[in-house]
Order: sequence, then structure tokens, then C-alpha cells
Amino acid sequence: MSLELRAVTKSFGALIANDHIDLKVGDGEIHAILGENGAGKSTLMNVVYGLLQPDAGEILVDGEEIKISGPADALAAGIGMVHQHFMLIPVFTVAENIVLGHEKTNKFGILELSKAKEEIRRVSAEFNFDVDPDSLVETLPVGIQQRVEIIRALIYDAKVLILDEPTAVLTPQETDELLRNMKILRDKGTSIVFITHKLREVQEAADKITVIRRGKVVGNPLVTASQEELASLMVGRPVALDVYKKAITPGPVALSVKNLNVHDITGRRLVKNVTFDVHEGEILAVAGVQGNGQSELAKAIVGLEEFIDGSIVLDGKDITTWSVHDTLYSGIAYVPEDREHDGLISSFSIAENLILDTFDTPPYAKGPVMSPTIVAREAEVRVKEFDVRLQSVQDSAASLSGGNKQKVVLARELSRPVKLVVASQPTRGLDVGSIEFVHQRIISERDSGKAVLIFSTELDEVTDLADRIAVMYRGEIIAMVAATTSREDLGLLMAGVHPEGTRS
Amino acid sequence: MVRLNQYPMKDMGLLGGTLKKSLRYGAVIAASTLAFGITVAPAAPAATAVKACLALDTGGVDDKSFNAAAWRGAQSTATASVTVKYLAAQSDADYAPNIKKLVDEKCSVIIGVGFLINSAIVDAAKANPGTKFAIVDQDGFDHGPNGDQYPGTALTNLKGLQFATNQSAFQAGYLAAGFSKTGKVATYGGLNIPPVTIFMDGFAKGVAYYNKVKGKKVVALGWDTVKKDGTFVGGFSDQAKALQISKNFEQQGADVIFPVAGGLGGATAGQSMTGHKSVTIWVDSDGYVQAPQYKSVLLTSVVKGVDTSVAGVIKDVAKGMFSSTGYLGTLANKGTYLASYHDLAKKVAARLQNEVRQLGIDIKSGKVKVS
Amino acid sequence: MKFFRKAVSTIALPGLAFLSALFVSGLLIAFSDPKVLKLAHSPFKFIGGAFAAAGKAYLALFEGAIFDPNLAHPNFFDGFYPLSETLVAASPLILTGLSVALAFRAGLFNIGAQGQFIFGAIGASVVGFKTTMPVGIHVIAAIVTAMVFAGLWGGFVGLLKAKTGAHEVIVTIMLNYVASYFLLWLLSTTPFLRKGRQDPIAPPVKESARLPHLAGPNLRVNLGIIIALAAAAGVWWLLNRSTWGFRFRAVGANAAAARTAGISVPLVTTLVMAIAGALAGLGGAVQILGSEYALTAGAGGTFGFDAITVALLGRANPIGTVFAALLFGGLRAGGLTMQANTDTPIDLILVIQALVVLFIAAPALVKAVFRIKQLKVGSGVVSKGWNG
Repeated sequence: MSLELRAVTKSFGALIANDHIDLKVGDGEIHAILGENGAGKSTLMNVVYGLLQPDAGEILVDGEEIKISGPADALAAGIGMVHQHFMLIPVFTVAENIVLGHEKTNKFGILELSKAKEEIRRVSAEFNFDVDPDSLVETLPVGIQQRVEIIRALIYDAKVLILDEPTAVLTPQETDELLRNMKILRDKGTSIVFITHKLREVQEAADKITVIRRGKVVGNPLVTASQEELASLMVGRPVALDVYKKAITPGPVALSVKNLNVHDITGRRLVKNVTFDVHEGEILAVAGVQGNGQSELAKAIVGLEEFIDGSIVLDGKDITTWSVHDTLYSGIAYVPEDREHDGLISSFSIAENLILDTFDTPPYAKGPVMSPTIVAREAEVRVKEFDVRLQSVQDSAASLSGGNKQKVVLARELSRPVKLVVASQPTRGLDVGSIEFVHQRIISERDSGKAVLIFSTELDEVTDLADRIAVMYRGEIIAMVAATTSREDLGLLMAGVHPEGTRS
Repeated sequence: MVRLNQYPMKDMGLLGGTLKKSLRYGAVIAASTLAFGITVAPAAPAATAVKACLALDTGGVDDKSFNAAAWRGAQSTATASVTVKYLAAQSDADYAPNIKKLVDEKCSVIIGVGFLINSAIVDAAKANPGTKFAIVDQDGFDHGPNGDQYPGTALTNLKGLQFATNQSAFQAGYLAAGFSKTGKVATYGGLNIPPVTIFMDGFAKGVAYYNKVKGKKVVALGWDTVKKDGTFVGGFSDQAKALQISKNFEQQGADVIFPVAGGLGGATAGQSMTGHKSVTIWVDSDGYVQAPQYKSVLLTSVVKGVDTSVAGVIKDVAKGMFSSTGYLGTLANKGTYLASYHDLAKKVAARLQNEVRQLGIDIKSGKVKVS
Repeated sequence: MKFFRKAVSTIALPGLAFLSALFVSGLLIAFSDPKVLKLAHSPFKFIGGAFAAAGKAYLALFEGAIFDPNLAHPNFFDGFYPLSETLVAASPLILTGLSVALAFRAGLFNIGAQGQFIFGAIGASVVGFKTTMPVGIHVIAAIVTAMVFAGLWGGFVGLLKAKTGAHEVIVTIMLNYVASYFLLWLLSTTPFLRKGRQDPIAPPVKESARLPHLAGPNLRVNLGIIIALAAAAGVWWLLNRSTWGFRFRAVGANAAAARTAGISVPLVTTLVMAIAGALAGLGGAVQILGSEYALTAGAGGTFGFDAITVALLGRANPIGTVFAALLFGGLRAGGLTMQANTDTPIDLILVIQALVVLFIAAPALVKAVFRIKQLKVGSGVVSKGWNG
């Protein structure tokens, strides 16, 4: 089955999210749609799936124009979609989730699942998915949950499968498996629309590529195009993907964490007996799949976790029980994982966000009296230094794009005199251009002799930035390895498997 | 005549306040679609010989209690030469401004209704010696700047209207004790304030007098004549609490209940009607006339002649015979009395009826002391 | 020019909302007037009568809220008696409104201004009638006591929330009950009974503890309005120019980010509720020391609850709150005159208040009515507030 879009246009107020987009997805092909965040990829797919109505343009299936006014129409036309955030009910079984909305009952009014289970087993066997229809969804790894979503689409006869940023939540191993499965699906005749901003994956799996920038199709490069070419098309200017890092000799220990345990309020142990050091002039990257205790470890270091034991020593001072305020002032810059929620106050002005943790110190305040003029003046300096694109520093932080928001957080945290930079997922959700900027900033901090602790789930980021790599799995640091460790070995470690020769 | 404020604002309970307020808003907005539901207080603007003005408290003119009674009394005096009007207050802070407005309007006589309005009336009477004033439920004396000089000085232009309602309540207590099959009767009040407790005290003492005369042991629940304390709703608008109190009394075996809480008596009477376990004695006005929906369970009513006394003051002013001498409503001058048994007359033994009647005569003559 | 345009867009919406409310209320006034209804047989006379009735009522509203020419002779100045009444009614509302607005900005929904007001009134009353002090000192002592009483009462809520996570809405509602019944009980105890009386009315505060009148003995307007305006300026400064205000607003706008930036959320919560309590308590003090002089069971009125409306109407902004309180004070003072002069039921004032709030809370409605497209609606404080 083929899917064709002709001049699809969709605007939200003044913003044109999709501007006359043409797209042709042929029978049995993997068509990658590549673009930065906010380029209009998701809007386009929501239009195809009937979640949004286009202002203009047509959608054709097998050459015939169809009208899609909701997901039901899309499904009927053979279009299935797997969202970035799964639409599964965790406490239901796989079979229950799949029949949800299409439940069949027997003559006694009791839910009839046996046929559905049969179907699931058949599809699962056909594509080698290894999904048990009776397992509870919440007990399954994320990669398997994603397969459940795919099975659901296949069972309802999807001939075109839209995968919206499917690798964002997966471990490297799971990503590889998904890419493999996508090829199997393609070979059996399913067309796949693969939305992503990860260049490596595009190169690995796609048959055709469409690049979207600012709502417009800007090119259809061949799959043989280099990553640099793809990135430049995406961003609209040449991009340096390789981070230049000069060799530097680490100094003395800046941060020393010993036997640290972190519990949540219910007493569950999320960080288990973690011990490590970070030296001045060194980037230690903590790699790990989301949810293995990295967030809690980062928070514990800055004093945001309540139930901790062990010791955290910064520059010779034991800061284990210090308040967040004191920890930050003792010399830690903290870039929180969730910048929208923890890093910024979106209703505050950009100028105010730039002093969120220094507002009560000179020159911004004398005693309890704040000076808005100095706050604004300093803000101008910061936004220039960090290249924050904005109209006015008095605008609310909500008006900024994701990359510029992160720049504001960095500008705030790196303008203080600090000894240690703790950054959690510093480039999550950022576009290629912003990632480049953030990485360069982090490296320059390290070059100026600061200790840097990065938490990341992105293997590329970890290998690009790190001087040493710690791998976290289920709350423990299971390995401390060199920056030269291969992606494959790191991937195995992140999944809790020790490859030969990495046991530390 | 339908007025919107059916929720007496006398409650001091806080959420009560908001709820009522929101009910008011709600009712008002609902009514706005019917627009015609709202009527205004009648008045005749033409200049006439006598203009009698009432300053009501926060209960509003439809409180089914003394505000309503005072207005009823005032309206009964309206003639070609006597006009009447009232101003209602939204909160205690409105009393002084309202009275000032009435003074500015050159009312011939200004009658304050409610004990809280007393200070404002006294101040106004002192400031405006040319205007005549009266105050319901207070002595009308000036008790000095700190309100602690007793007995205080009488003002020549202010008349206090007070009521010895313990006399009629005493009769009611006697009647209730004689009427009770279970040997238990009960009373409760809105707030622990003198105009309320005087009824409860009289009632309980009436029961005690019955026990003394008859050698019985009828129990009066809800008021302790020694401790001067008893059962109170805590306001005049919490229907649910009044109903709960009534049900509790019934469960304790009381078969005659005397609520002294203005319009809340309806909650008790309603319980009497649905539960068939008790009868109710109405308070302030003759419930048979003012709340006829309950007439099947009203044994009698202890009437406080706010209406007749207010009417009396206005008539005196009209006749040019106003005197600042305090008025005390008693059985003797019919300023308070026990109403007719109406529909329940045949359930009250003739002998008991006679005894109650004789008791009234004895109270008037001073033979029986009620306090 | 920019400032002018901003001012217009700030005032335009509440202004149009007020006009809409007046229009709808005018219909109610007309339809509730039996004399107008009698003209129903003739449409022309009916419309004329309706206009006359509404016009008369609104004239009375104006005469009761701003200036009454009938009172202006022989002394012209006395014509401003209504304005004085407006200011007297507005003073406590400004203060309770500020209490709610301040808490709002820190992300707290202070339903407890009522209880805090009552505690302030109790504190001011006790010092006012129980103690003897020199003029000047006495009134200051009474005010400070009121603010401390109410500040502790409010701060207790903040402390509970900070330590146990108890939601301030539930706690303050319950504490309102406690405060009002505590007041009721207090007024039945011997020290609070006036000699010779058992009514729930405390002895009047001594002359030395009363707030001085600003415009002679005939007008009740007193130092309370100056105190209220000063408090508004103080709250504005606190919120917009002080480090504490920055903390308050940060916690209110995003507690997680504030915490991450090292701001102590429990401390802010406790402090904000204490200051909010003190402001409401100051309102109680102004009411008792400025115009009522004696504590009664109904002393709290509905100041604490009206404060919520006032603060919302003022968009939780101190200056907006002052204007909203003046509007409410004017409606209140004018409403009494409207009742006195035109026999319009006093409840109709509540209707106008409700309609103003309704129209302002539903800007879309006003926009639709006046076919406005571009009018900018103020920030959305109104729609938030339940976030813990």
C-alpha cells in the first residue's frame, strides 16, 4: 500500500507548522522523516492519523484521495501509529490492551480473549516478536511494550505504520532490535514512516529520507548521504558533529561520593551503595537506561533527595546533609534533567530565570532589596554570551524554544563560581544545533579545570564527551570504564550484562 | 410576596455565611431569569404626616422571626397619613450607616430591631435629639461610652421594647409537661443570648412547676435552669443542625419540643410531621397563622408581641403621644401570650386546658412567680 | 504611548465587564419594580419606565458611594459623606484582599482570611478595651496584637502544610469554623460581656485605641484607609522588589524549580501564610478600631470571603486588589443608599457584585458581547490557585 500527501498545510494561529508538504511513501519501504524538534514532523503525522485536521492539501492511499477525520478512519484506511508515549494500560495484560476498544464478548457477556490471544501469538511468531499475550504490560521492558503497540497496529490490519520517535525510550540494544524488526516488517510488505532526529538510525534503516525544516520539505537526500550532510539539511547550516576535545590531565579529586544510598519515601532503595570520584578537569559520564537511579543520584548530590546515607564530599567538605541552597553555593552548578519542570519557571521573565539561584546575592540584591535594573542589565550580558535567541529578556521563559531554554539554564548555572558541574540529560530533546552548543560549553568548563559529572542515556553523547564512563544499572554503578569503550560493550553494560574484559 | 433572601443572615457561623451568600447569589441569578420573582418593599414616597422607619438586622425582612414580626406590625399601622419603610442590613457594619440614612430621610420614628443594633440606635438617639427612636429587645438606656454603666441613663427620645416572654413560656412548659405521654419534653435555642434563653428558662420552670404541683417527674431536656446553659444550634440558619437536635430529643423520648430559634422551628415541626413522635410548640408568632404548613403538629405557640408593640409605638407617634418610658410586654398587656391550640385542641384534655388558663391568671396576679 | 495602550487594555476589560453588569442589573431593577411592570401594556412607556427606574437606582448608587448633593448644604464638604462610607467599607476589604492575593502569588489558596480577620478583630478588641495606654501607643499596640494573633493563626496553616502536607484549603476552611465559634464562645465569657448584658457584644474599645478620623467627626473615614493603602504599597514592594517576594513568587509559579534553585519551600509556605494572616488580621483591627469599636459575633461579616473575589478581580495584584476593593466598598455603601432611596432590595447589590465577577471571570463573554478580538486578557492567575 502506498501513502501520499499533497500540499498538506496546517497552521496554528500565526505559526505554520506544515507548509505545503508533499510526501510519498511507497509500498514496502521505510521512509524516514528527519527534522529538528519543532520542525513539524509530529504535526504532520497527527494529520495523517486523523488527530489533527489539515487546513489544506490531500491525503491519498493507493492513489485515491481519502478523508481522515479521526484515528478510526486512519485505521480503516490501513494506517497505524505508535506514539512516542505508549497508549497502554500498565495493569492490563497484553491481550487486554490489544482488544481495548474492540472488546468481543461471548453469549454470557464475558470478555472473549482467546481469539485475540491466538492472533497475538500468530503475529508475534511471524515477526519473531516474542510477546506473551498473558503478561502484564507493566512487567514488560519498554522495548517489548513498544512491540505490543506494533502488534496492535498489525492486528488491526495496518499496512502503513507510523513510528513517532520510536527509539527515544529504548536502550541501544532495543534500538538495534527495533531497526531489525522494522526491516522484517518492510520485507513482509508493511510500509513504515519512521520519524526521528537521530542520524545514525536513519542511515541504518531508511530506504528513503525526507528532511523537514520549519514546516517545509527541504530535501530528499539519498540514504548514502553522510551524517554531516543530513545534519546540515536539518539545521540549515553546516554543523560540526564531532566534538573536538583536547587532551587534558585531570587534577585532584573534586567530588568524592562514598557508599551512597538513596531511598524514596516508600523506602525503596533507588541508588545502591554508589562510590566514585570526579577529578578537576575531567568529565565523568554516567551512562544508563532511563530509570536506573541516575536521576536520583544527581539529585542526591545537590541535596534534593531526602532519604540518603553515605557521604558526599565536595572539595574536602562533607555536603551530604546540606540544603540545596548551601550545596549550590558551595560550588555546584546543576542542570536538572527536566528543565521545563525543575530548571525554569516558565511564567517568570528570562531575566528572572537567569538569577533563580543568585537573586539574593550582590549585585542583584542588597539585603532584601532587589534591583530590577541590574537584573536586566546582567541578563543582557548573559544572553549574549550564551547566544540565547530572544526578543526581550523581559519576555517569559515560556516563549523560548527548547534549545534556548537549556541555554538559559546553562547561562545561569555556569555564570556562578563553581567547582563542579552536574548536568542531567543536558541535551535531551534538543536539536542538533543546540546540542553542538551545549557540548562545546560543557567541554570548555572541563578545559577550564572544573569537574564535570554528566548523566546521559544517549550513547553518542556519552562517548563524545566522557573522559571516563560509569555505567549505572538498577541503582548500582556496575562498571567504570574508559572513554574508548565500544558502543556495543556500553550497550551490553547498560542492559546489565558484563561483556568480556569490562568487569571492574 | 416573594423576596429573595429566604436565608436569615443571623447565623454567625462562617461557612454558613458563605453558603448563604452563594445561595443568595444562586437564588438571585436563578430568579433573574424569572425576573418577576423579585418584588420590592412597598413604600409611598409622598410626604405625609408620619413616616415610621425600621432598621432591621441582618436577618432581613423575611426571617420568619422578629424582623418579619416588626415589619408586620409596622405595616398594620399604614394609613393615608402613616407611611412605613424598612432598611435591611447585610452585615453588622451596616447598622450605623442605615440609621444615619433614616435620620437623613427625616423619619418621624426609627425603630431598631435586634439587640446588636442597640449601640447604633443609642448613638443616633443621642446625636439626634429631635428624632424619636425605639429599640426592640433592649432597655433603650445609655450605658455610657464603655457600655458598662448600669442601670444607665434614660434618653427622652428612645423607647425600649422588652418582653417578659418567660411568662407565656412558663405556661407552655406547664402545658407540655401535662401533655407529654413519655414524661419528657425538650427545648433548644438559636444562640445563648437573653432574648432566647428567657423563653427556655420560662419553659423549663413551667415544667418544674407542673412537677411540683402534680408530684410528677417530667424531664425538661435542653435547658438547665441552674447552670443557665443548654442546647443551642449556634445560629439561626443551620437547618440540618436544628433537625439533628430535634431527632436527638425524640430519641431521648421527648414528645413535646419547643424550639427557640426563629425560622429553624420549621425543622423541628417538619420532624414532628414525618416522625409522628412529637409535637412542636412554635415561638415568637402564632405558627398556625405564620407557618400553616406545620399546623397539624403545632400544639400551640408562645407569642412575643413584637408586631403589636411596634405597631403601638407607631400609633403613639401618629397620635403625638410618644413616650420614652420603656415598654414591657406581659401576659397582662398581651405583649406576650400563649396562642390557641387550634387543630390540636381536642387532643389537649379539657382539664389541662383549664389549668393552663388558670396558670395565666395566676401569673398575671403575681400569685405564681415565673423567675 | 505604550504605557497608555497598556493602561487601556488593563482597564478596558474590567470596565466593560462592569458596564455589562450594570446593564443586566438595570434590567433586573426595572423588572423588579412593580410600577414599571404596570406599564407593560405599552412598550414605549415600559421602556421609558424601565430606564427611569434603573437610572434612579444608579443615581442613588452614585449618591451613596461618591457624592450626595442633598448632604452638601450647608457644608459642601459633607456631600462627600458617601465617599467616606465607601472608603470605610473598602479599608478592611483591601487588607483581606491583599492577604488572599499575596498567598495566591505564592501558590497558596488562602480561604482562611475570614478566620484570620476574626482573630485580628479579637486581638484589637482585647487590647482596645482591656488595657489602658497613652494615645498613639494604645492604637499601635492594638494593631500589632491583631497582626500577631492573626499572623500566628495563618502561619499555623503554613506550618501544617510545610510539615505534613495538609492542604491549606481544607485547613483554612476548618479553621474558619474554629475561629468563628471561638469568637462566639469568647463573647459569652465574663471578660467579654458588657456589664449588665449577656448579648454577644464586647465592651467598646477605648477612645485612645480608636483610629483617628481623617475628615472631621461627621465623616467616618479614618486612618484605616491610609493603613490599607500603605499595606498595598508594602505588598507590592514585597512581591516585586524584595528577595522574599522573589522567593514567594518563585514558589507560587513553580515550586519544583524553586526547590531546585535552593529556595526552601516549607519556609516560604509558612512565612507567606503568616504574612497573609497578619494582613487579614490588620483588616480586622481596622474594622474594630476604625469604625465598629466593639467586637460582635458577626464582626467578621463576610470580609474574608469577599476578599477572595476581590483578590481574583484584582488579578492577585496589590494595585488591582485596591481598585477591586474600592469597587466593592462603593457598591456596598451605595447599595445601602439604593435601598433607602429607591426601595431596591439590598440583595440586588449582591447581584451586581456577582455579575461583575461573572463578566470579569468570563472575559470571553465580554469579548463576544462587544465583539472584541484583540483585547489582551490579563495573566491567568484567576484560573489557577488550586495547585498545592
